[in-house]
Amino acid sequence: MDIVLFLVLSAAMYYYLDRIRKNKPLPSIRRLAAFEAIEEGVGRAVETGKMVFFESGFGTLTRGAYAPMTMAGMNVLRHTAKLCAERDAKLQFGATGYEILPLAEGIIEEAYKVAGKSDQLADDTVRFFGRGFAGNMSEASFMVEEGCACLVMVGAFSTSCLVLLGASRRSGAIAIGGTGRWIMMYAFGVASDFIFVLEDIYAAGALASGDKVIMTTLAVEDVLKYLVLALCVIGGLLSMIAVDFVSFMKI
Amino acid sequence: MSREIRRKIPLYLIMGLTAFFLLEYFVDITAITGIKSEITVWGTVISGFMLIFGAVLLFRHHFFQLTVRKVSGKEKILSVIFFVSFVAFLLIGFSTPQRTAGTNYQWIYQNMYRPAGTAITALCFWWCIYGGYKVFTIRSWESAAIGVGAVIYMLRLLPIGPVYMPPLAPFADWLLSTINVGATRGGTLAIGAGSLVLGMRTLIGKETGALEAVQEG
Repeated sequence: MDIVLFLVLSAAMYYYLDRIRKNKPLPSIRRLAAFEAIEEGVGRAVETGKMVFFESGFGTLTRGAYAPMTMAGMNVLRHTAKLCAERDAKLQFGATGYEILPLAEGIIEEAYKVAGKSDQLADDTVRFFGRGFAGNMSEASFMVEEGCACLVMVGAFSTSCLVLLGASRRSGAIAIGGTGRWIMMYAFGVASDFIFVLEDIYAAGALASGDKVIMTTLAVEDVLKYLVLALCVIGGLLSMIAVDFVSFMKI
Repeated sequence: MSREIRRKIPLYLIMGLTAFFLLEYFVDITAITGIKSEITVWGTVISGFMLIFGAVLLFRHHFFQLTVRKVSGKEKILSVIFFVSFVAFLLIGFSTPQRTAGTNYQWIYQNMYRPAGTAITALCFWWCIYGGYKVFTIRSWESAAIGVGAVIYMLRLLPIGPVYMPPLAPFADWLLSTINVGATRGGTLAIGAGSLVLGMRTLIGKETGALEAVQEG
């Protein structure tokens, strides 16, 4: 069954890539309020003179299921850093894992290079605040002390993200965030001003790229979702008439 | 080496490796499985180098804090603490043949590092609850649903809830076992689809988020 899913996904990808090649109309991508709010948050940082704080969670690019979430976080970081560089807003990247430090530093440095403002990049823009919970506590204290206009959190997070979201409210910041961990969605649901709901974090990365091919892959994702939905409905109906659909799917 | 080549090499490497891992998943050939295990070991080695890079960056940051930058006394004290603990752990770790399993290292780890870590974790949980109560406002449909669900389930857990409202217990349990599980599965499927598509983007060489190298503007 895995191979069937993979082939359907590949066929959908080929279909949309072919449409791009032939200049045919492409599916429209819905707007993501949280993605657009980053621009608003950066604008607020410029007006107030406070910083934009970015946190990409505890994931790394080598840690299984959390790697894609961290990758999505890095894509949004690139977009945020680009906006900050263009508008002269102060950016602060908070790392709670030292594996991500070189990558974040490289991405921010490049975003400033694109804007032609390498000289304006402060050398403590990327900071390691400590690992895990201690890091989040330290980041929260830093945000309250220094003042923050916008908090952006995209990546893999645990319960301690509530500490950061609480600190952002205390310093009057706009909180924008999301994670691929469904178990932590409640935290962003109750405490963020704008949320990326689960796979929205991948969509945000695609929107940030501005690349037609990457954006079209979101349509491929929808094809996969419809397929899974259809399988759920068919499976439910077949189970009702005592057909062992589950065993068939395990083939 | 030009920026363009520096960008292309890791991109092609990742594309090739993704295709290889995919092949290994679908094809059961011992030789391919063996190569995959070897590549996985190399992955661990490379991620170990990332740790070294991270440590070097940390060292550089605190060195500049102490020598070049005009920072507050508090920041300087923090940097001194970093330097002392970094050097102490390094020396103690390498002073015995057992490395980190040595008695001295283990004593510091168990009696200093762990109690400090536990204290911070305990504090963090307190702040999590405080933060949750402090910032929770109903400003969207999502937060309204979470708020209503949380109140119902909290009342179900309190003895007073089911005593005065007997239907509350089965209703709250139904919320948890039916609505919550359904939503969880939907969420898991959606995030799985997202991860798969990110994998496909990597396979066709379009996932360049962490690799981009650009010309200075």
